[in-house]
Amino acid sequence: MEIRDKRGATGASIPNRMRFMKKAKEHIRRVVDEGLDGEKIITNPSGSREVSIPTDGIDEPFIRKSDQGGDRHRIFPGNEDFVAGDHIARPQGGGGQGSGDRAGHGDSADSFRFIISREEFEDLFFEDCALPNLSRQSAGDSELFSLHRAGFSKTGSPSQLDRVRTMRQSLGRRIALGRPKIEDIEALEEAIAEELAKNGETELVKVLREQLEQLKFRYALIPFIEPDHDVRYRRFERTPRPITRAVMFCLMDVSGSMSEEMKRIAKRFFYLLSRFLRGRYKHVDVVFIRHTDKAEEVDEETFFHSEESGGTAVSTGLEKLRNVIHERYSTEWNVYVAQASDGDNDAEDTPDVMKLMTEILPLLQYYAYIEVGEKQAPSGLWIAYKNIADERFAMQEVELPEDVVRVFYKLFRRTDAQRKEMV
Amino acid sequence: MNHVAGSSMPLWSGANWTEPLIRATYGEIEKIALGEFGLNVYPNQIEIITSEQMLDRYTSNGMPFMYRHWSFGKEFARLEKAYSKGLMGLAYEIVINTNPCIVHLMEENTMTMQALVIAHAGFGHNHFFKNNELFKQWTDAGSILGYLAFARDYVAKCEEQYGPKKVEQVLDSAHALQYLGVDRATRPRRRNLIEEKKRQEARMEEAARSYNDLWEKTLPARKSSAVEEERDKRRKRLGLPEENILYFVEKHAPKMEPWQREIVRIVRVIAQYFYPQRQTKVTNEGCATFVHHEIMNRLNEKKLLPEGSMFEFLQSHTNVVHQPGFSEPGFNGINPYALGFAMMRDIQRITTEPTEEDRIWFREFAGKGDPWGVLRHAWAEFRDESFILQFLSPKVIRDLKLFSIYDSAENINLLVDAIHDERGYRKIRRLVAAQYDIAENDPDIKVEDVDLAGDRTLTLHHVVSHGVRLDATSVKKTLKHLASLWGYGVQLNEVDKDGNVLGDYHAG
Repeated sequence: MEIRDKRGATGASIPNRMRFMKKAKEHIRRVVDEGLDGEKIITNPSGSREVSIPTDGIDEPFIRKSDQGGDRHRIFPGNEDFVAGDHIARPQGGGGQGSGDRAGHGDSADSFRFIISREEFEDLFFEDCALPNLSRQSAGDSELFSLHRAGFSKTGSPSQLDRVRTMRQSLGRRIALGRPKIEDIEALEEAIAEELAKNGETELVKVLREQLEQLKFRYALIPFIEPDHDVRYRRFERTPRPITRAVMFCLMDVSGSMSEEMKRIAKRFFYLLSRFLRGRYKHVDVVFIRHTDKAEEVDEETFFHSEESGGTAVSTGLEKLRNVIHERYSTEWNVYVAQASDGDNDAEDTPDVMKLMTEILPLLQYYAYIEVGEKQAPSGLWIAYKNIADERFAMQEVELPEDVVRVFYKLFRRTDAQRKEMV
Repeated sequence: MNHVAGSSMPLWSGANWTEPLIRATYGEIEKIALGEFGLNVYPNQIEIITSEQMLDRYTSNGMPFMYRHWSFGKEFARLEKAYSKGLMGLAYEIVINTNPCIVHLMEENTMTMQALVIAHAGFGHNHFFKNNELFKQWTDAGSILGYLAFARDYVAKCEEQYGPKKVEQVLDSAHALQYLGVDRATRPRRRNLIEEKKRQEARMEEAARSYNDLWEKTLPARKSSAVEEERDKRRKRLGLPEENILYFVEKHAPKMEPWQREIVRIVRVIAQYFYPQRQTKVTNEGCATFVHHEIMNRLNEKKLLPEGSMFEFLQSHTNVVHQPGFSEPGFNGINPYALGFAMMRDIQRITTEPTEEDRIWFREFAGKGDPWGVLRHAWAEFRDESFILQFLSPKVIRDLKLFSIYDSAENINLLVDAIHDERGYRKIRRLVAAQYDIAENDPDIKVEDVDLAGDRTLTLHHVVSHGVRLDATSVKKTLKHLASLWGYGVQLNEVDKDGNVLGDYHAG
C-alpha cells in the first residue's frame, strides 16, 4: 500500500471547464441572437441573480428507448396496499414515472440547465454591442481634455517660450552661417589701433580696416536671434480625459394613447439600455421624464405606473430634457437619451420639436427613439424625425415586447469597422 | 503503535486523520479482509485529494486522467452546482478497475470515514474488480492507465496538428455513439500500450496507400437475384450485421482521416472498458458495501474503533443503503447499494440461519455455513442480471416490498401483476433481473447494410422488442453525429421481429 498526497495538483479540470464555458458562450449568444427567451431573461429585473439557459446546443445526445408506448414491466419498492390484479389509473404524461434503470443517465443530463450569474450573462449579452457611430466619443472618451507636454513648436504664447531651446537653435544657426564673434571684431579693432600707434597709416591698416568692415557687416547681417527660425515654445497636447459617468434620460409619452403594452415595450428597452450603460460606465444616473402636453421629472415608480391624461406635445419633454442637461449634466457627463412614444404628436408641436432637437443633439452622445405599438401608417413624429440627419440619432419601430431585444441589437450592434478596431 | 488482534486500544481518537493513522488502520483492515474474509485484491494506492479534485475524478468517471473535452467541463459545472447547493454529497469514493487500485481519500473526511473508504473501495470494489469474471475477461486493469495516458496525449497531439475544433467534432460525434460502441458478445483481444502505438503507426502508414474496399469494390446494379447475391456477399465481407456501430465506423467510414479513426477508436475502447461496470452495479456496490459493513463491525468487535466512531459509520452507512418506497420523497428507482447490500446480507443469513423457505429456495447453500465462500463465488461468477436471478430471495422481496407494474399501451390502466407474495416471488425475481439486463434494455441497433453501388448510405436497424420504439428526439440528434462521422447519409429503420419496417429516420 502506498499513500500519495495529491492535494497540490488542483485545477486539472480547468481546461475542460474553459472549453465548456466557451462552448456555452457560443450557445448563449446563439440563443440570444435568435431572440429565444433572451429578453425575458434580461428584462426581468425582479428575477433571480442567476440566469438559466436551456442546453439544446450543448447537450450530449445518445439513442435511447422511448419511455412511452409498448409493453413494459416496472418493479417498484415500498408496496403498501396493492394486491396482484389491481388496476391503477395511468399517471399523467404516460408511463414515465422515473423507473429504476432508465432514470439514471440521460434524463439527468437532459434536465441540466446551465446557470450563470446575471453579470456573466450581461457580459455575454452585450459582448457584440457597441455605442454606435461615436468613434470619437464612445464610452471612455469625452470632450474633456487634459494637457500634456509634447515636444516644442515654433508657435506659441510668450509665456511658453523655451529659452534654452531657443538659444540652442540660435547658436546652431550662428555657427552654420558663420556669424563673427564679437571678440574677433574687438581683437581686429585692437590690432588696427596698435598698428596705427606704431606705424601710422600703413597698407596693413588698410587691409585690416577692410577686414573689419566685412566682419561688422556680417555681424549686422546675421542676427543673434532670428525670430522666425530660432524661437521655440513648449508645446502641449490635449489628451481626452475619460468621463466615467453617464446619464441616461428616459423620455416617455404617457398620454392616454400609450397603452400598458406599449409602456411595457418601452420599459424593456429602457432597462436594456440602462444595463448596457452600467456595464460601460462606472456611474450611471437615470433620469425619468414623462410628458403629455406638459412634462415633469419623476421617479421610476411614477414613470411606469401612473396614469396621465391630456394631449401630446413632445416638445415639452424635450424642453425639460434640455433644461435638466444644462442644470445638472452639462459637463463631465456622457448623456444618452432614450425616447419612447407611440408617435402621436400634436401637428402644431412638430416645428418646436425639430428646433429643440437641433439644439439638444450636440449636447449628447446618443439619442435613440423607439416608436412602440402597431402601426398602419407612419406617425407624425416618425415622419418629422426622419429628417434628422445626425449620426447621434437613431430610431426604430417596436411592435411587440418580444422584438425589443432584436431592435436593441440593431441599434447597438458593433459595426464591422468597430470590430476591426478592437482587433 | 503496533496493534495486535484483540488489542483493546482504539486505533485513533477524535476526527482528525494523519498519515500514520491511515497506515495503522489500513494494516488492521487488511488483516481482516485478507485473513478473515479471504478477499483477494490488487495492491492499493491511496491518494489524498481535495473535494475539488474529487469532482474532477467524478467528471471523468473516475479515470485519473483523460483527454480534454468540453463535456467533462459541463459535468463538472453540473456536479459542482449540485454539490455546492448541498443537493448531493460526494460518494465515499470513485474507483475504477486499475492495478494498482487507486483509492481516493478526501482531505476533509474524518478518520472514521477514511477507514470506511479504505474498506469500501480498497477492499470491496478492489476484490470485485480483481475477481469478477466480467472484468477479468473484458478489461485489463494492468494496462488501462497506460492506455488513458496514450489517449490523452494522442488527442492533445491531434488538437495541435488539426485544430481543437476538428478534434472536438469527432469527439462529440463519437461520444454520441459510445453506448453503441461496445461488443456485447465477443471478447476483445487484449492489447498493451506498445502494441497500441505500433498499431496506430501502422495505420498512419497505411493511410498513404489508403485502400478502401467501399470505394474499390463498387459494382453496377444487376438483376434482382444477382443484386441479392451481391448484397449477401457484401454483407459478409463487411461483417454485417454489426452491433458495434463505432467499430464499423472506425473500420469502414469512407472519408475519415486516419487520426479521426484513431479518436473514434479511443472513445470505443474506453466505452468498452466501462461496459462491465454498467452490468455490475448491484453486485459491485453490494460487494463493496457489504465488505465495508463487515470490516467496520469487526474493527468494532476488536475494540479498535474509538467511541462514537461506530455511530458515525452507521449513520453514513444507513444513508447509503436507504431505499425510499415508490411513493416516498427522494424515490429514484431501486438503489443498487440497497438492493446489493440487502441480498448479500441475506446470503450470509441463509448460509448460517436458514428458514424452511430458504432451504427450499437455496438448497445448495442454505445452512451449509461459509458465507464468505458463497459470496466470493457470487462476486466472481455473476453479473447483476444473473446474480439477481440466482440469489434474490423471498425475504428480500418482502423486506423491500417489491411489486410489479405492467404497462401496456393497449390498456387504459396500469396493472399490478405481481406483489411480494407466494405467487409473485418468481415473477418479481425474473423482472428485477430483467431490469438489470443491459443487453435487453439498451436498444438493439445494428449496422445492416451499406449502399455501395449508390450513394453509400449506411443503414441501421433497430429491432423493436415489446413494442417499445426509440425516443425520436434522441435518434434525430444522434444520427446527425453518425452521419458526420460516416460522411454520407445514414438511415435508421425501426423493424419488428419479422422485419416489417415500423418507422425510419434519415440524416446527412
